[in-house]
Amino acid sequence: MKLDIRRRVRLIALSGGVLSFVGLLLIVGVGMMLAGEKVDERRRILGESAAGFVENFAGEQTRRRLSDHVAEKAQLVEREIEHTRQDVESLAQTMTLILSDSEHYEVRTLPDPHRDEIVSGVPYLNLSDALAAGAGDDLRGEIGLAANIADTLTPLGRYYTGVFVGSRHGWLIAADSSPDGGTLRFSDKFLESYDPREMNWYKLAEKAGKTVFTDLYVDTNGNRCITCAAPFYDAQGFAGVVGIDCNAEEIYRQTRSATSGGFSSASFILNRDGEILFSSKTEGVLAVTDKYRDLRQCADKSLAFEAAAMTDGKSDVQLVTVDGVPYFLAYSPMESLGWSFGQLVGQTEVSYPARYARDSLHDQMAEFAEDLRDVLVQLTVVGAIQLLVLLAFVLWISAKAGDHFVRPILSLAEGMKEIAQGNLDKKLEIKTGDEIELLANSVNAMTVDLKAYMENLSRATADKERIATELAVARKIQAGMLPSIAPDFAGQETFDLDAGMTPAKEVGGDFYDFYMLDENHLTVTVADVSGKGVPAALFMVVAKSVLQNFVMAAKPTDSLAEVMAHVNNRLCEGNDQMMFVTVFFGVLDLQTGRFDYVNAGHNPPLVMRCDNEATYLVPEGKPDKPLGVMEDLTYHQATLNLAAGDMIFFYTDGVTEATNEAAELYGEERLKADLTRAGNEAPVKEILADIGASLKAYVGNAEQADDITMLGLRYLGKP
Amino acid sequence: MEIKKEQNGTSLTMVLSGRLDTVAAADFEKELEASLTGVESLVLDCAELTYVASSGLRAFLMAQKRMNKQGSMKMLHVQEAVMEVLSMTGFDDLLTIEK
Repeated sequence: MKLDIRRRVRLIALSGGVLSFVGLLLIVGVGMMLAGEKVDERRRILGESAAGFVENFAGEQTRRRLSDHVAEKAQLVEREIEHTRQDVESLAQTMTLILSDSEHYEVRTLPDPHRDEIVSGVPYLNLSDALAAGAGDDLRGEIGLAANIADTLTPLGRYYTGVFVGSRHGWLIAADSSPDGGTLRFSDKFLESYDPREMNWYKLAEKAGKTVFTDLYVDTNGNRCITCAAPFYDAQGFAGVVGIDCNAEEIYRQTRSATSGGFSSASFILNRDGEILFSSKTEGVLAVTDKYRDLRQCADKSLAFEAAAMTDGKSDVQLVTVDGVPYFLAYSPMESLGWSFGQLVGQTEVSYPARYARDSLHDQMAEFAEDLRDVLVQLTVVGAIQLLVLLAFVLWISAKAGDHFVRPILSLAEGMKEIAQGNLDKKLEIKTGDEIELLANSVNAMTVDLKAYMENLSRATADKERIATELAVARKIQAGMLPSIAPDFAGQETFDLDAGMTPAKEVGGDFYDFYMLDENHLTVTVADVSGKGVPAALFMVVAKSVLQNFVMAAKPTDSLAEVMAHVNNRLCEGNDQMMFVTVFFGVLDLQTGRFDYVNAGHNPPLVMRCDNEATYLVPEGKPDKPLGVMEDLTYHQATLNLAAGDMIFFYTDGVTEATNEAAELYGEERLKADLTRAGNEAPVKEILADIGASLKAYVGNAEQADDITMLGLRYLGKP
Repeated sequence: MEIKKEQNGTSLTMVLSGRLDTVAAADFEKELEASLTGVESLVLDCAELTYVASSGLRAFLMAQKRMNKQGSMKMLHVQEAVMEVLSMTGFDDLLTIEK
């Protein structure tokens, strides 16, 4: 089924709407998708960079905290050491004061471990056997004076493991403390031959001339300790060295017992020679060993490198590998001792906060992306709903618009239908201001034109019909003017005559005539007026009448040639149109068979004698001209004597000039041959029919261009 | 029927070809009517003219009559079939025919 315009418009609008809808949906969808991807990408980049930043920040914070932590630890030790230094220096000053201000001090006697039991923290005097043996009063006096230091030593002795004064004269005043706080026990060697001047701390301080710290060493009690020593002076100058032992284990323990800063793992102290003094590690490269071992020479390059930095007194936090495990190593120097405090923290412990921060950020970002996706989906759904509403609106509008556009077309169609049904007075009233109005106006104009044209046409048709009718009447009149055989010559025994004319479509100018001039004379006329139509028909009538009148009015003495000349002159009168007529006119004497004739430019007739051979009746000399061509022409009469049975066949050029479908003329030769074949026995009527049939067969379907006229006259002889 | 015209000053040559039947004769007459004003020498070239009907003869006659008044007319290269018609009707006397 075909769609009507309304449906098509709707369909187009619908297609347009749906296409727009789909297009919009695609755009929105793709846009949303792209936005989603973009946001996702941004989120990832942002997340990565933020996570990176946070990771770095957290890492940096952790490292800084670690760095602060080790610096704090190092300072803790430093402060402890500083206290000791102050105590040593204060002790040295007191000693110098006592020795240089002897008048203010009494001589005192201190317990001697050779004889007395020494309780922990109580100052005592020790002299080697050699020294005691050779001791003079000066020495005794000096020792007694120096014993006043005991008041200062006592409180210090309670705090330190060992506080002592070594003289350049070899004696020693000391206050030691034992782990259990009970009686001190001394080795024999100590009692017999101990000489403070032999001691490292003594030598260091004497050599430096200022407060010094010894390296870590194992004291007589087997404790690992360091000694802080400072020189003191008397009137003669350098008089000896005071020293305080610090239990290094204790100090180190303090660094460990103090807040660990939340860091687990190991810590150690390195001296300026790259040797590990203390370590929480008991195994591996960082463990304390008896043998000297330089950490700077260790197999692990990263650790060796940092160890060198540590011995140089720098502080840093670096990643190192210890026994194949990665650690962060934070270190800070203890300048007074030339040591460096190092703390190892597991790498994961440092990076954990950073990783945690990054992961947390990632999670939040992922949540954000999820939320964003939800929002996008919601937006898409809302957009789709809005578009659907829009589509519905577009459809509604397009349906309306379709009706709006179609209405004028429909009314145009209605109007044209009415016009088509014949109402040419119908006016289309369409005022849309567009092409449809133009079309309607055109239709209106066309209707007016059509009406005028139809009126003209009907008038013209009426005219034509009238003319055709008149021509038909004219043809009938013309045909009526031709004589008929039946009534006039019925029962004739002296001649056999028959004639026939087949008019062409248009009225033509052929005619034939025959009548009895008197009892014994029969006239025969065959003529052809030039041209066709009404002028030819009129001229034919005139020619026929004039010819008959002149023949009838002629005197018996007048020759046919004279009559013909008269007729010619008469027809030439007022003949501006140069109408002319070819005429064959003959008179047959029925008594004798004598046939007198004049041929005015007409086709020569065929004569059939009894030998059945048709021959053309060709004139001798020049043929006479048609009638009406020129005035005062001379015509010639000829005579043919017919025997009984002889026949003359007259025709017009409609016969010889009939053409077949190939436009070839029937021609005189063919006519002659056909007539010869037809013979001269059959009645004239049949012979004419025979020739007519032959002609018709030759012509076939070609249109007949001219009147075809044939007349046969057979003389039957004297009655 | 085809008519070609070649005008050269007051000389006009009309080349006729085909069949000068009744219908063609009417056209030919109109053509003559329209062309002959001021023409003093009319030549009808009939080399390609194959047939002349009585109407055609009349047209020739009219042309000859008119040209007799204002100059001259002659027919050239008349074919045998046409010549037969002309001589049969005696028109060969009325028309100037050059062979």
